This record gives sequence, structure tokens and C-alpha cells, in this order.
Amino acid sequence: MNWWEGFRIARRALWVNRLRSFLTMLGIVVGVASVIAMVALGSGAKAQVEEQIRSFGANVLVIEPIAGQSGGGARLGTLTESDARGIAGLPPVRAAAPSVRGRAQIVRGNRNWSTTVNGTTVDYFVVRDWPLSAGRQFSSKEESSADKVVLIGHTVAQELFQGGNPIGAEVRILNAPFQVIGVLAAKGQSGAGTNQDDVVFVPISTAKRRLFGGGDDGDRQSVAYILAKIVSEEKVGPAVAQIQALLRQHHRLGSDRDSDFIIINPSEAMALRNATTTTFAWLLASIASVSLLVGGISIMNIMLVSVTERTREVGIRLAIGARRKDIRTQFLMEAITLCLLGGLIGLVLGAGIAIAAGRLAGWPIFIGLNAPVLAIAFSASVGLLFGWYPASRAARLEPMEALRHE
Amino acid sequence: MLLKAISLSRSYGHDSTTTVALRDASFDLMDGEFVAIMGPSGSGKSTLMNIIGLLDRPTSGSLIFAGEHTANLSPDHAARLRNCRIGFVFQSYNLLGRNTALENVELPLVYAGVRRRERELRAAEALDKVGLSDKAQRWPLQLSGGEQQRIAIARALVTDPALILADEPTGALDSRTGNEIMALLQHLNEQGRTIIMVTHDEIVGSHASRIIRLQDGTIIGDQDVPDRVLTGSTGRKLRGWGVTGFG
Repeated sequence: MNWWEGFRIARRALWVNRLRSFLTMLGIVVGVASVIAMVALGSGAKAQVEEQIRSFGANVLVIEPIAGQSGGGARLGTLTESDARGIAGLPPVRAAAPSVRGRAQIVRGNRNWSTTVNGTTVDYFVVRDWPLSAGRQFSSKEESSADKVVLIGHTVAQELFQGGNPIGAEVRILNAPFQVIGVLAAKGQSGAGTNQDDVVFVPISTAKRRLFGGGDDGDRQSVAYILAKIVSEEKVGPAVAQIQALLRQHHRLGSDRDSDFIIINPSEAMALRNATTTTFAWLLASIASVSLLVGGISIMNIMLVSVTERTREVGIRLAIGARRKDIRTQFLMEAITLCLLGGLIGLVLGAGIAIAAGRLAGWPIFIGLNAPVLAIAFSASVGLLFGWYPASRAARLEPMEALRHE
Repeated sequence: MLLKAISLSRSYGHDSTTTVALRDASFDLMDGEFVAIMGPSGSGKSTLMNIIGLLDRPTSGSLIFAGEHTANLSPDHAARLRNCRIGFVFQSYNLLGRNTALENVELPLVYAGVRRRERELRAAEALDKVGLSDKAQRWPLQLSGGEQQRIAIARALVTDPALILADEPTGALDSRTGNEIMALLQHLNEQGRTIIMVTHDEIVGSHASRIIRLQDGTIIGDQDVPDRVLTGSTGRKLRGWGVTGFG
């Protein structure tokens, strides 16, 4: 007897006891539903983290100054452009960009828009894998002579130009005229939920001298933060150590002094922010394993009852020529069919739960092809695992004794 | 020769509590015979029947079935022989209640690995032989006892076996229906089918051509039946069944 015949017999036996069959598969339903919901939420969260990291730029470190760490006088600007040059020279660092930042009103004709003005170098866009959608980058002449040129973000371009061509147009930032030389490609929301496209960039020299210029030379040298792009993920660890050592040496910090800067790995921070969904996924995983276990035990229990109830049937089948493995196939198929049916219901239920949870809590979910594969794999293995013993017991029955059974 | 039993014995339990159900039973069975194994209950006739039907093994002695020694048959091989060389008819019919008449008749062919279409064809043919073509789609519980037993006979016939083993085939039926079943078995025997039937009923037994008598596990008699009852001799024609007998 092949598996298909076994399935036909199983289908009938399960249909005859439909209420019992349904109640028996509930454990599997809950188990598989939890697995599906868990995977949907887990992979959704993972995809979101990956998207955030990709959008920020992979393998990027942020180095920021810490105020008030260097002795008594609280000096904000402990990081300098020369620090950035030093970091850029380290072997695991592909590029490093110093940056200053402020908010300003940008005016074009009768429209104005308040946004973040970021003063940086061309390397910044290398670090963040951020291409232009139109125009060109700062030239080195523009950078060195602090020309009034500006790259505008996607949102700013929309707000000020509304579909018109911004390249070559003049905008005013803090009343100074700037020429728009490029528009950045849209990046969307950041991991923290801010709009990354609501920004404009000017050369760092321009920002310091013409926009947020300070008094003394120390302030002219200082930067708000430095971004460093590391060549690969494995090199991030060593890079952190090397930057640490380099900056401590630059800042002449003795071994008894704390660092006056901090090195942040945003990828880690982003992964951490998604810990809630991860926790929830683990909760579901534990529900899943408990339900699958309990579901499996109830399958085994009912299959044992079923075998006992049908001892005489087994006797008849053996008498008319069923081999032991035919009997085992029959009962195994019954357990597997029961579980697969439960798995199918669980799949639908789990997807529903994931979608509902995604809507209510605003979590990202992802239901891919792996969901049905997982549902089938889990439920079929539970059926096989917990159906094996009852089926083998049926197969071991002695034909004569089974026939005598009432 | 279809079957040769040599000194078959079967005992149950062990040591002090041993009970001997069958002792030194020997006989030969030729093709085409219709043998009744008779005896009071507890005489060992069912034990003998189970051994012949390869459902049980003798404690000692040997059984040669269709030229094969059955002592060391694997369970699968025994199942195969039961499937295609032996047809069983039981006192309580032993039909599967969740399957239609036709599906019950098909069942041995399922285990023989016959394809579904051919199975249905051959099962329908077997149902026709027992005169129940019109009841093919009925459930066993919708049928009378006599009809159920005929379904069971059709199931026994469907693989075209060398031997039909009938265990008290009329035991659960009234005498008239019982007679119909005996007529059917006799007809099958006339067509050359070998039949072994177990019964405690002298009248039923007298339909056979030979009677083996058992008492306390021992064969006490083995002879042909001179005054054999031929159901056809009553002149009654069976419904859906063209036997008129020899009378």
C-alpha cells in the first residue's frame, strides 16, 4: 500500500471523528501559528534593521566629542579636522568625514524652508553611500576656498523647487546667496524615524567661515562629529580600538584620564532598538515549542486511542493481506494528515496574528515563502515523531488476537 | 495437492499452565475439495483454522501450503500468501463499517498493489458473482446479515485465491439465509474452488464433501460425506444466482 492509499484511509477515519480530530489538532494549530507569527515578526524586524543600516551606510562609526571631560574648562569642540584626517589614514578606515551642523532658514524667491545645514567634505557621501540624483559634488577648489555652493536633500528640493530644476539656482542661507550644484538621492526615514532627506550640505570650510563661524582658531578647527567608513564588518572592532588609541594620543590623554570623545556604532544601536520585537519573537518561540510538544503528545494520545478502538479493523486488514508496514503507514498517515491540517490552519492563523500585531504595534512584518514551508515542515515532523509509536504499536498487533478483539 | 498438514500441534502458555489446543493433526487437502472441520467448541477447530490460514503458527509440526513450507515464513511473506492465495470468510462478516460494499471487496486488491481502476472493475465483478451488484454503494450496516456475508465472500473471492477459509460462515444467520450462503459456497466449490469450513453444526457440515472431526485437540475422524446435502436439490433457485444443483 502506498502513501496515497494511506492518506485516503486517514482522510475517512479523521472525517468520521471530525470533532475529535479538530480538538486534537488544536495544539498543532497554536504551535504552528506561533512559529509563523514569530518568523513573520522576526524577519520583519531583521529586514527593518538591515534597511536602516543600509540607509545609514553599512560599517559606519560615529565619533562625537564629550563635553567637560578634559579637566576643568568645559570645551565643546575637542574633535578637530586634523583628527578626521588622522582617522582617515588608519588602515581599516576607507574614508572619514568631519562634520559641523546647524539649523537655518533657506529662502528661494518667496518660499522658505527651515532645515539642517551640514558642513562636511566629499568623503561624507562616500561614507554614507549616498549618491546624487542630479548635479555634481563639491570640487576641491570650492572646498578649499569656502565657496558658497550647496547640495540639497530630496525633501528640500521638493519644498523649494516643487519639481522645477534646482541645479544652478540661487538660494539664500542666513541671507547669504548660495548656488545649488546638486540634489541628493532620496534616502527616506532614518532608524530613529527622522527624515534624512530634510537636509542641505555645504563644504565644511564654508559652513565655518560663512555660516556658523566662531571666533578663535580652536573653534575653527573643531567639528561636531566625524563619520568613519570601515572597510568591512570584521574590521569594525579593530578600527574602534585604533581610532580610540589615535585620538587619545592626539588629545594627549594620559592613562589616568577618560576619553573626551565617544565612538558609536549605529548598527548596534539600531539592532538594539529592535530588541522589543526580538523579545516578542522569543516569547512566541517558547509558546510555539510548548504548544508543538503538547500538541504532539495529544496527537500521540488520540492515535493510541484510535489504534485500540480499531484493533479489530487492524486484524481484518492483516487477515486479508496487509503487511505490518501497511498498517504502520495507515496510522502514520493519519497522524501526519491530522498535523498537516492543523499546520495549515495554524499557517493562516499565524499570518493573521502577525498582520494584526504589525498593524496594532506598528511592527514591521514579513511573510515570505518560508512561512508555508515552515508550517508544513513543523507539523509533518510532529506527526511523524508522535505518530510513530502508536503506528508501530498497531503494526505489531498479532492478526489472530486483533481479530478476536471486540 | 494444495495443502499438507503434518503432525500439527499448538499449545498455549508455558510450564505448568500449558494447555494443548491442537495435538498431532495430520491430513492432506487436494485441490477442489470442500472440507468441513467439525467439533464442539474448544475442540481446537479454530486453532487449526488459524494455522492453515497463516494467522497463527504451530508449536510443532509442519504445514505445506501450495508447495511452500510455512514454518519459516516472514510475516510479510505470510501476509502476501494470505492476500492472494487465501480468502477468509468470518462468522461475524468482519466488514469495515466505514467503507462501502464495493470498497470492502476492493480491500485485498489495495494490499496487492492493484491500481484503483482495475480494482473497482474486479471488485464489481466479484460482487456480481455473489449477486449483489446493485448493493455496491451501500454501507455494511444498510445490508442484511446474509447480504453482508455475501459481501465478505466476494471479498474473499476477489483475488482469485486457491483456498477459501470459512469460519462458521452461517453462525450468525438464520437457517434460510444460512442455506443460501451454503449454496453459494457449494457453487463456488463446483467451479473448482477449494474450501475449508469450520462449523459445529452438523447440518451445515453435511454440505461439505469431506468432514474432519476434532475432539480435545485431536483428529478423531476424517471421512467423505456419503449423504451430502446439495442445496440445489431443493429445486429452489437462488435470487440473482443461477444455481439449480443436480437434483
